[in-house]
Amino acid sequence: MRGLRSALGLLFRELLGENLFLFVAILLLSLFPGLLLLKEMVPGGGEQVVHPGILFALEFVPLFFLLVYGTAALSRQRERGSLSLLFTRPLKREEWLAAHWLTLMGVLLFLELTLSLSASLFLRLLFGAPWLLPLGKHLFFSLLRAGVLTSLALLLSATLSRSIASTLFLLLSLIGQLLRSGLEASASGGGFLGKVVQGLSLLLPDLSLFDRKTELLYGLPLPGEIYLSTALYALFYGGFLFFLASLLFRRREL
Amino acid sequence: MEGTSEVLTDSRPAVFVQGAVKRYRKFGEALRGVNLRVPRGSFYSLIGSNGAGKTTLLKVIAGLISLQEGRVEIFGTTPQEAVGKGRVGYLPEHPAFFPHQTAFQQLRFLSRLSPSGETPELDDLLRLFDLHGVRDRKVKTFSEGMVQRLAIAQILLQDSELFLLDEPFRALDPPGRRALKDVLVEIRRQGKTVIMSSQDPGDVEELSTHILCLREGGVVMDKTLAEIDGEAPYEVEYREGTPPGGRTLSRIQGQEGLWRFLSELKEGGGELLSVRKSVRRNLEDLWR
Repeated sequence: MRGLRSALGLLFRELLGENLFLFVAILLLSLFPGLLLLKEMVPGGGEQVVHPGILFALEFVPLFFLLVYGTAALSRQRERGSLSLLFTRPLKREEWLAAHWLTLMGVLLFLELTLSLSASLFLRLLFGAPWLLPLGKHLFFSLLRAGVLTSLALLLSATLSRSIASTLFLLLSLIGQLLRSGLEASASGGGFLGKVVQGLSLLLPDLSLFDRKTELLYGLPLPGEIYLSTALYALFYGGFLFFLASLLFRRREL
Repeated sequence: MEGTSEVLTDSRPAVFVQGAVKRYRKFGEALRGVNLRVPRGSFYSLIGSNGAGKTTLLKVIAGLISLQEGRVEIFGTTPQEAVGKGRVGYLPEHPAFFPHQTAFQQLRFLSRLSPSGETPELDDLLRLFDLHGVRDRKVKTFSEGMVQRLAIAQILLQDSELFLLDEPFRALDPPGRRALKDVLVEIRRQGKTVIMSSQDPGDVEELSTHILCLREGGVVMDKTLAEIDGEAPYEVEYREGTPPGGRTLSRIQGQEGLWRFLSELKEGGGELLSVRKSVRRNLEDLWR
């Protein structure tokens, strides 16, 4: 645990030291699509209680952040040679991996909270929207999704080179986002392709489970089971990916 | 019983490598059945040309890479176990730190990972390697030599019993070399074990008790420095008597040969200028 605590401090400093300007850029970039859509749609918004652009931004931030930093985290240290100094000390590789997971999630939490609060303020000032927007609910799903994606990014980063890890991450994230539609299409079509899609759905991350934009946009009720099942999925699938990452990272030659 | 087990553990060598084979898919065999037994308190130098397998062997002992065949023991345990107990200090060939940390932050972080969790006098350590003036500078601004000094400083953070040093003198300036030599002499004096790879016969001759020469992943020589010293030829510098000539240098093998040569030189009216053992020349030959 001492190793984990020390590693957390170092990784936060390193991540912020290395990427401060990029963090600001990510924040600005993630606000951009929200503002763009806001301008177009809010005047005729009708029953909308929160704007989709902001929800999109909340989804976009973790994906972009993990694509740039998550997939590079361990692979860059390995390629640079920093890990051989670390793992000839009494530091467990699982601790180092856990420290990365916590650091990335900590930064993501900060980014998403900042974004949510600024969006709420923006909507309140410009359009008189109520303060208690369902952003909190969206934040819940968004962070669960971020947890799964962080484990996925670390799994790829622990085993592959930077370029391959980021390409695969992007690909798997896109597949994960479209998995539900693929499953529905394959269920109606049937056949060999349908079976392949169904088989793959058991292995690949199903990110569509975390997509609750429609319900939140139109203020539709979300039953408690949805919260519970999504949280359990994130816990088990994210945990499985993390376990796989630590298993492979432990055996990785440096 | 506990006492007996302790005695048995103590009698084991610092490092024991048996039949080590390491193959890389791209580069083929890096180690071909290497056997090595490093007694406690010895100073082993690994020598050999580039690509001979020195770095791979050190990484195997440090537990950073695994073997396809053979086994490695450190103080009778696995490398991972020895590393986990903080018994091993490792200096990689190309040390790399976290670029956005200062020299002091790096050492503080690594010292907190030591089994005792105690932070030694980091400032003294930085002073020892002439880094105190840059203690608050980020490592990304350091030259290669400064990074090397910091890497050497980090091996002294924990009370290791075995030091694995991969070309420790690389990129060091003369004061840095002197400081490192003093540290290594002190480590040896404390009865700790060192395995060092080196490309400099002078450093090897000055510091080692044993020398292991690798060639294409195999051991071609494993001897004590005393044995090598005994085998080294004498370099005799002399001047011929008849006909009178200039300075000549000859390499003569063995003590008997030397006596015979000297008596012949005396009989011929020649003049002996100097006699010395050429251990360094002998070591240089091993690189070929």
